[in-house]
Amino acid sequence: MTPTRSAVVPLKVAVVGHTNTGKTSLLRTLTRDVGFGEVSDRPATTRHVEGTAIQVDGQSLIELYDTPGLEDSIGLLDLLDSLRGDRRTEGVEQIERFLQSPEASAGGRFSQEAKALRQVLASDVALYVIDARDRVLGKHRDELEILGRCARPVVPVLNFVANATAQTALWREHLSRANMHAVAEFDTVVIDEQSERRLLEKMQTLLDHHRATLDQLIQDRTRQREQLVRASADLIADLLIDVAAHVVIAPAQDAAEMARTMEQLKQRVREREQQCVNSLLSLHRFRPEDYADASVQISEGRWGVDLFSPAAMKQFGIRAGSAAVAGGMIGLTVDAMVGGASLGAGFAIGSAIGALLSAGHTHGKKVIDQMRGYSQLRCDPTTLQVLLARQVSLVRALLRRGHASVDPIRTSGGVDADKAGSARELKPLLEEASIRPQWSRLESVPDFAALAGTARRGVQDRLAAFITKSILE
Amino acid sequence: MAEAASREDSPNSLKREPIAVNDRLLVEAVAALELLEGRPLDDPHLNIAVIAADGDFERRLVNRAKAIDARRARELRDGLREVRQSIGLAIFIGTVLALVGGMGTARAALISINDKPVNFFWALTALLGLQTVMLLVWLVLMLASGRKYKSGGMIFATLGGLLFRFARFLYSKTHRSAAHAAASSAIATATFQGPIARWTLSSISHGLWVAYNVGCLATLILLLSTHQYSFAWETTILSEGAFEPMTRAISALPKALGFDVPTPQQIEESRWTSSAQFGQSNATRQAWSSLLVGALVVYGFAPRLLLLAFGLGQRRFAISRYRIDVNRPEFARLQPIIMPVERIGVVDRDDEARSGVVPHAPIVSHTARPIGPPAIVGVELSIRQSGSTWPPPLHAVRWNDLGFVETRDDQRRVIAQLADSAQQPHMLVIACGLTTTPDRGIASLIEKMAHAAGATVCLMLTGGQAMRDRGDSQKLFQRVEDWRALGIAIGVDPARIIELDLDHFTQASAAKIASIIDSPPQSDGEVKARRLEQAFEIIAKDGSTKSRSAADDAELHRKIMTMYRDQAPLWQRLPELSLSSVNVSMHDVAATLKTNAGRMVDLLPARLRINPKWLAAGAAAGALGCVAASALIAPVAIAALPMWSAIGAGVTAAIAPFRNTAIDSPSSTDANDQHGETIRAATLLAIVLELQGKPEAVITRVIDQSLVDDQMPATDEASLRQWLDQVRHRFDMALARESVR
Repeated sequence: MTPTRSAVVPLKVAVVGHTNTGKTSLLRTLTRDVGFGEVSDRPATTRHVEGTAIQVDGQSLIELYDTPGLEDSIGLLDLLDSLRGDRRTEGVEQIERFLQSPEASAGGRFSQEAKALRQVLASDVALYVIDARDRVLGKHRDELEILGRCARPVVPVLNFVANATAQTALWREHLSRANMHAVAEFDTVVIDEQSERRLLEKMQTLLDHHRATLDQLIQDRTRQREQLVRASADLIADLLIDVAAHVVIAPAQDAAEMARTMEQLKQRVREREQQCVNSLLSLHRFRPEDYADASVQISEGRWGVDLFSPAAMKQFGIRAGSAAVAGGMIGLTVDAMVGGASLGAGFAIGSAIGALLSAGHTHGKKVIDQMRGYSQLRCDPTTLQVLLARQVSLVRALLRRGHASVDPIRTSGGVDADKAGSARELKPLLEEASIRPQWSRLESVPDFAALAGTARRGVQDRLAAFITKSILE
Repeated sequence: MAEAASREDSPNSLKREPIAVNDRLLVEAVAALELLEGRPLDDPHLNIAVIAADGDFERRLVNRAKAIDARRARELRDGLREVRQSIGLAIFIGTVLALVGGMGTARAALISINDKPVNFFWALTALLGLQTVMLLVWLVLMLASGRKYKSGGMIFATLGGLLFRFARFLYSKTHRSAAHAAASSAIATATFQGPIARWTLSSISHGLWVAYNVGCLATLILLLSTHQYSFAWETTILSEGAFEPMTRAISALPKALGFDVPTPQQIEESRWTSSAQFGQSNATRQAWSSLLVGALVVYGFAPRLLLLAFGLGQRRFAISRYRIDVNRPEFARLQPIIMPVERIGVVDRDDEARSGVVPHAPIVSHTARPIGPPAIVGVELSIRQSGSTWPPPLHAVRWNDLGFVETRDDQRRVIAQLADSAQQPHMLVIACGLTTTPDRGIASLIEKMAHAAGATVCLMLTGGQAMRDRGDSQKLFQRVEDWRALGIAIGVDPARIIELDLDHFTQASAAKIASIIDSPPQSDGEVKARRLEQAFEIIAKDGSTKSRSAADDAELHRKIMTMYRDQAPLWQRLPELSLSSVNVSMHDVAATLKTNAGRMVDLLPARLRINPKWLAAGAAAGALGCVAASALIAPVAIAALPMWSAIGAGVTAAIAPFRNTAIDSPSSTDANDQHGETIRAATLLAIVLELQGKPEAVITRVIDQSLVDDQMPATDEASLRQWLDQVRHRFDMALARESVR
């Protein structure tokens, strides 16, 4: 908007490396763009140079260019040496001569390498992507040698460092022997908060002119992450209120009707959870359809384990009461409408009357008379705990997930639902929601005024603040 | 060039006209409605590209809000208008009430009892007292909210909330739709918070007081015109002289503005003593009444009017400064949609023409050198570190070992050796690691070596386990295929591309190498199929007995294993349990069993691995197979049968982690299911043993196709047999398909 900002010249970055080291993956993860290019575990997946931009508030700060892999660096180095001629030729001149040679043209033996090198020459900096699981081989040395002749700063990026077979230390040692000390570690599949920042900082050390641009980006990334966590927490808080507040009623005597209502309630809650999962995925710029592989955990954007199963509870260290398991009542709680309301308060009865009225069960008869013989059904606190724990662990997994991952999302658990769910701050909030059925979006006739009201908003904000804490824990 | 031009344009286009307040309000309303309905309002035909074309996030939000479904947009706009009208109505009602209140106050101020003259100071206090106090309260609030925004702001927000609730009450009876709730919530967010709320409420309050003053003034003038009032002052405890300076002080400002005010003499005359002595001249009365009106105008009406104007100005300024808080979660959610990553696109196209790997004629010998021993070379192999023997030990084969190729110098050396040696190798075996991606560099190297050797090339792919260790077991199959494709492309006979693991070199591997060095390998699936049938027979007989113990399970697995005894070298790579020693550490046993359970699970195709029953069965097969193998190797130790119970615990512990992650139903610990697990595990073990010697990818594929079904009715022998028959049939089919491949 201001003239200084529109004057920013984007920093051009060429991403190069041996074939199948994850160049496209790096771009996907840096730009949070799961759809960029094509990723596979095969050689020469990318055969063209494709650009994409990292933007801050609609302004491109960095242009990243994906290049074909360097496959035959040994052969290319032979060729470059033969182009050296008699007198001492500078490295860049050799590269330029090579780029004009027939081998570099379309269909030539080194046309792919030529594309990559041409892009390096057109860029401010090259990111040299290394599969850290590979051993240091001759081809890598030769690739570094060739890149060294391009007269552009090179930042080696060690990919797959989170893998058990990664030989990070060996690579670092070798690279420092090759006089490359600004080495970044960046796993495109498993990212952590700091690795991207460190990569950008490494680039800063080599690119003094673009220090301000990179600073701006680093700050934006920090801000965005905070925003992402907050927005995720808000979505989860919304889900919890919807489910906690939702109440249905059914005639206690009619077992078939009771079972049907129970199943309906479960189904609605499952759908609501799924909706939340979808929103979380899209918020984190993932697509539900990205996960074609099946898995015990989330696949194709769905939870593998049903919310209302002992397994779901077990996963987060909660024991389901045996009586509930036996009655098929897992995750639900039933209150007789008169006497024995588990909330005890008259307020609960009042809200139950409201639910009864809104469900159209009375037709003007005496409400209390009608209420006898009805039970109200709702999700029990354990289900809410599991819901919360599941979403929190999903968000944690999403925050750590690179946009190049093609494997199903694995939530590591690690969320102590018992602790998370019954925390002193959380309990009163959920109890408050549970006596206000009008706060639930799952009601058959939603009360929009109550949904838009400030009271619900207030509880949601407080819940979200709590959830933010447990996400970042 | 076109791209560059459009880039030039964008900074200019950003300087478009500012976003209108109503548009921002619409954005808030759309966000509120989406929150209410829990889903986006996007028009299905909405062109995201247009919205996301340009501008910062806020402008794109506006673009999006304008482009939502027309019907919903109309509802929202109507809602916004109606909420505003309701607020307007509330303000109008307030104004009328203030006017009436002012009139009432003025009437009450001028009431005189028993023809007693009106007490001037009482009348003045009645007219100005309350509003002056309220003015001071307002001032305090403004100062508080100005300095420390929060506390004062809260009070204004509360007042705003009250007013807002009143307005909403006015229309909530007739408008209960989501759009109306959203509109009112949007107005609440936008105008009843922050500086806008402060100045809106200030303006409203000043406006109401202006109305009050107008009511007062009108009534005052009406009463003074139509009734004769005398004005007096009186006191009990104050000194007589106090009232003159006080009146002069009050009248200074009205006098300056041209209002008639009482002279000192007139003031003295107006001291009330008794009605008999009190005779006021007309001029005195007019002076007092003029002062009353003047004081009301100067101290009541005028300041409020000025503050109203000031407040409205401030409000307008605050509104012009209003920006949507784009950091709010509901907007953050839209970020991925309307702030998509801007891809630059392909800047250097794929040539289509595939360079490098060009299909060649089969590589055959053509030189007239005497034939020597087979040569072997390792390309980028990590085998050197793993401590395996190199070259692979082969009976009756003396290798011409060329070592490993890793660098440019290695390449030159090996090619020179191949080309210059006195003998032409009988065969060139090139060992490659599966962790290496087959690329043009490798292809060109193989070609060069093949041509230098002038011999038939065999491609030996190794390191499947290393590939799996990377967590890439699913990708192993693709990798093998890519290597095969590369080999075929450079002219290697497909029959001479083999897959084995040099880190786990077995007799089968040796046999494989031997076969390709001499002649192409042959399939021998036929004879073994019967053995699988025998194994299944054992399962059908043994497995149909109920009430099983861990010892029974292990015994079943041992029986199956015995069937394949002659192939012992094949499964000998199963880790051995050191059962022969007396002091068996249970911990070691458990660890070994666990490793093996994991290996077996690794062999399972992804589809079965997500099935908890098969996952547990796979783990059981691995652990029990290990026990059974050990029993065959050291039968003496096993003879001490009490060991079984201890091993049973170890097996259970080894399987436990796989059970834990996968429990799906509460009945998973049932005896019935336990039984099913035994059958599944035994079947799996038999199939894996049957497939030993085949590449791992093939094993996984055949398992995938054989064990299709999760339903296993097998409680009695007949149905168990039926199930096993089906499995065997599918297994045969899968094997047939594999041999076609």
